[in-house]
Amino acid sequence: MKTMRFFLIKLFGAITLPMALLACVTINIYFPAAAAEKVADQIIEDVWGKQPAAAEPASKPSGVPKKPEKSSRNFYKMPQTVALGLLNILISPAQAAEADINIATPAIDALRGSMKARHGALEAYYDSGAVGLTNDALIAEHDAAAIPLQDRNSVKKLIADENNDRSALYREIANANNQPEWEADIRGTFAKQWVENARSGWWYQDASGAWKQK
Amino acid sequence: MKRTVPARNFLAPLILVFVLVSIPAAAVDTLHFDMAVVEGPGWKAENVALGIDWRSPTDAAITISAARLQLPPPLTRLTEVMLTCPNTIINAEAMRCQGGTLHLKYPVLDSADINVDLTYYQASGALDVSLKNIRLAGGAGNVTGRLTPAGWQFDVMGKALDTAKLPAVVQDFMDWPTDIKSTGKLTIDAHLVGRENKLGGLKLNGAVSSLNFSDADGHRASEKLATNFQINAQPGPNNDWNFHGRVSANAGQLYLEPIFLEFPRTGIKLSTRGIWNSKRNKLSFTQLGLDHPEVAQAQARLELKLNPLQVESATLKVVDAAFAPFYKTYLQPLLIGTAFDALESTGRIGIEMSYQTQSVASVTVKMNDASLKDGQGRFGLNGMNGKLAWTRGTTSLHSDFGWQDGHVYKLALGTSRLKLQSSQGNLELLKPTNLPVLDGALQIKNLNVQKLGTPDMSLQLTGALTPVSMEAFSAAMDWPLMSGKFSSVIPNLSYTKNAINIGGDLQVRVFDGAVTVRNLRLEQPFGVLPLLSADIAINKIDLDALTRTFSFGKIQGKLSGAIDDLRMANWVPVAFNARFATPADDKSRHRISQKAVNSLSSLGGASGMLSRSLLRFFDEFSYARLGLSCRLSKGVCEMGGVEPAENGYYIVKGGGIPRIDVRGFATEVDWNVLVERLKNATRSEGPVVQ
Repeated sequence: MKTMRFFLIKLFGAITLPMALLACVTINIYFPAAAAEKVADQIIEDVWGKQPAAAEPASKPSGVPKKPEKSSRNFYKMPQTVALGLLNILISPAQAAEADINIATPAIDALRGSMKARHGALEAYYDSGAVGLTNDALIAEHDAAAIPLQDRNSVKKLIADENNDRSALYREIANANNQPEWEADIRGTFAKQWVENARSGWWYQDASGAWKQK
Repeated sequence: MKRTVPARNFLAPLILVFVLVSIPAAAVDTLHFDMAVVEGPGWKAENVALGIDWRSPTDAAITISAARLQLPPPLTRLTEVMLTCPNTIINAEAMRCQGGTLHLKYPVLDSADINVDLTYYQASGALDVSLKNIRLAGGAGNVTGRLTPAGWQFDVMGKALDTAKLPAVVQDFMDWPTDIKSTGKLTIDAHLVGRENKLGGLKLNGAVSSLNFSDADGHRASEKLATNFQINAQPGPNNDWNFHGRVSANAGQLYLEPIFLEFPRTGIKLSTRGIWNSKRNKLSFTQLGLDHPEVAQAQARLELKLNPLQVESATLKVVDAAFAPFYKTYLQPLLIGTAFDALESTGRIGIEMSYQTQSVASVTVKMNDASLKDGQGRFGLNGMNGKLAWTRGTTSLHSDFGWQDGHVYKLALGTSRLKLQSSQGNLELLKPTNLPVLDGALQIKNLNVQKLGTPDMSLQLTGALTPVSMEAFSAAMDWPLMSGKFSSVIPNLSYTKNAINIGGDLQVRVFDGAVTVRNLRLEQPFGVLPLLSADIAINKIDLDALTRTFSFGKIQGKLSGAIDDLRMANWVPVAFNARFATPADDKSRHRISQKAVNSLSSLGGASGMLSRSLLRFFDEFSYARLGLSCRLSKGVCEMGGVEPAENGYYIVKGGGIPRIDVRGFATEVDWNVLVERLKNATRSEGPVVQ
C-alpha cells in the first residue's frame, strides 16, 4: 500500500516535473512564428506581387533562382528552428502539427483580393514616399507633400480602407486558426514581413516609430 | 556738443531741426550737432548726428542719422537710419525736403535707399511724408502720410511682393507660423490712422495670386491660389479690435485637412465680422458667412483662444444644401474610414451644429427628399424627409425622421417614420414604431442610443419581429423559394463596440418544423469583414419539403439537429459544430430516393455507386435512420453519420425493404470541396437510372 502510494507520487512527479519545466518554454513558442512568417510572406507576395530583389552587392546573375534574402533570414531564424525541433521531440507530434497556420478561408481570400486590387492604386505612393509602412503592420501618410492636393483625400481613403482590411486580415487569420489570442502576434509578424518584403526606396517605421527609408 | 534731448513724440527731432534751421544764416554756415540719446515713449535713438549746411538763408543741405534705433513694435528691426536732404527749402511757413534719400536697413528691404519728400509746416506742426520706390520683398511699394500733433495717417501700397519674404515682416506684427513656406505675389493697399505709437484704424485691400503654400506636414496647403481680401479694423474699448472683412478666392486649390476646395471662377466667398483682443488672446468671429456656389451657404460663429490656437465655441448652420456636392466636399472627408465614406446621395440637406468645451454639443440634420446609397451596396435609404437632432444639453430636442424605402444588405425596408427625443447625449424613441422589413416588420417598443458618434456608442432595442415569410426572405437571399415564416420576440437587441447582439430566440417556422436561432451576434455589421455567430437548433423539419426545395433528391422523414458555435465571416461559414439526424421518436414514413442516395453518397466522395449495383432497379428505399455531422474548423470538415460503421460511419442506416445503407468513409473533408459537392448535388438532376 505504502509502496503503491510512493510509486504514484513518484509517477506524478515524473510527469508533472518535465511538464512544469516545459510550461514556460511552451508558452514562448506557442505562437508558430516560423509558420506565421511563411504565410505572411505568401500573402504579401500575393498582394504586392513579386517584388524585385533588393539591390545587394552579392546579387546572383539572372536565371539562377535568386534567394539571397531568404538564406540570410534563415540564418537568423536558426535558433528558433532548433528550439522548435527540440520541442517537437518533447511534445507530441499532434500538438506540433497544430503549429500550422491556415489561411485558406473565403474571408481571408476576399481580404487578400481587396488588398491586391487596391495595391495598384497605392504602389505609386509607396514609391514616391507619400505613404509608408507603420510598425503596427498598417500604413500611414509619410510625406503628404508628395501627393497632389486634389488626391490627398483619396489617398487618405486608400490608407483607411487598406488599414481596415489589414486589421480584419490579422484578426481573421487568428480566428480561422481558432486562436483569437494570436492576433497581436500575427500583426507583429506582418509588421516585420511587410518591411522585409518592401521595395528599396519605400519608407517604414522602426520599432520606435521613426521613419526610415529602405 | 553732446546732450540728451527728451522728446515727447516722433515729431520732436523735426521741430528741433526746424528751430536750428531757422537760426539766422548770417551767424553760422555749418552746424554739426551730436546727441548721445534722443528718446520718447517707446522709442530711442542713439548717437544721433545732425548736420546742416546753409547755402543761402532759405536753402540748406541737411543730414540726420542715428547709429542705433530702438523703435516700438513692429519696427524693432529698423537700423542704420540716415536721412539726407540735399535741397531743403526753408521759409517762414514750412521747411521742405525734396528729392531726399532715406537710407535704412530692414529685413525685407531690397534696397536701403528710398526716395523721400518731407514737408514740415511750422504753424500746424504737421509733417507730410512721401516715400517712393521702396524696393522690398521682390516688389515695390510707396508710403504717403501726414503726421500732426493730433495724430497721423498713412497710405501704404505694395505691388508684386513675394509672399516667401513676408513672414519676416508679419512676424513683427503678430505671431505667424514659422513652418509655412510659400511662393506667390501679394498686392496690398492699406490706409492706417493713429496717434503717437498707437494704431487707430486700418483699412486693407489685398490680393494674392499664384499662391502655393504648405506647412511642414502638409496639413494645410494651396496651389495656384488666387484670392482677394478686404479688412476694416478699428480699436474698441478694453484693447478690443473690431473688424469686418471678406475673402474671396476664384482660382486654384486649397487643402485644409481634411477639406479640399477647388475654386470655381465664380469664386467662393467668406465674409466676416468680429473682435480681436490681443491682451486676452481671443479672436471672436461674431459673424462668418460662407458662399460656396452650388455647394453650400453657411453661417457660423466662432470663438477662438489664441496661443495656442483652440476653438472655445462655435455654431454652424448650413441651410438647404444640395446633398451630393455638399457630401462630396464637406462630409465625406470627415467620414473617411467609416462605412459612410463612399455614399451616393441626392436631395437636399441642412445642418445645424454647435460646439462647446472641446466637443460637439448638438447636431441637427434636416433632409428634404434625400437619398443615400452605399457605394458597396450594403445599405441605402430613399425618400428621406424630416429632422434628426441630438444634444448633450439638458433641453431636449425632438426628431421626426422617415424614409420611403431602403435596404440593409439584401433586406428591403419599407416606409417608416421615427419620432425621437434627445437630451444629455441620449436618443430615445418617443413611441412604439413599426419598421417594415420584407413582408414583416420590426416592431420597436423601446429604442435608446447613448454616446452617439463616439467609439463608446451603444444602442438598446426591445420589440419583436412580426412574421416575415420565408418566400420573401429566400427570394431576397437568392435562395431557392421556401415556404414558412420567421418571427421573434426581441427582449433585448444591443449594439455596442461595433457589434449587434440579439438576446431572445429567433423562431423560424420552415419545412413544417422549427428552427431556433440563439445567441445571434453580428460584429462590424458594415465593416470590411462582418462576423456573424449564432447557435441554431433544428426541430423536426420535414425532409420531403426540404429536399424538394433544394432538388437534392426526395427523402421522406423528419430531421432534427443543431448547428452550434456557428461562425460566419463575410457571410461564409468558417466554423461550426453541426449534426443532423432522424429524431429518435420519429414515426413518419422513412423513404429515400435513388437520387438522394446518390446525392448523399457524393457528399462522402463516392458517386454513381448505386447505378452499378442491383439496387439501381429500385426508385426508392426504406431507411431506419439517417444523419450527418460536420465539425468545421480550419477549412476542414470532420464528418460523421448516425452511427459508426466499419472503417467509417452510417449516413443512412437501412431498415425495411428495399433496404439500403449508405456509409461514409472520409472522416476529414475539405470544406470547399464539400460545398462544391453539395452545390452539384442540389443543382444536377443526378445520375440517370434505368
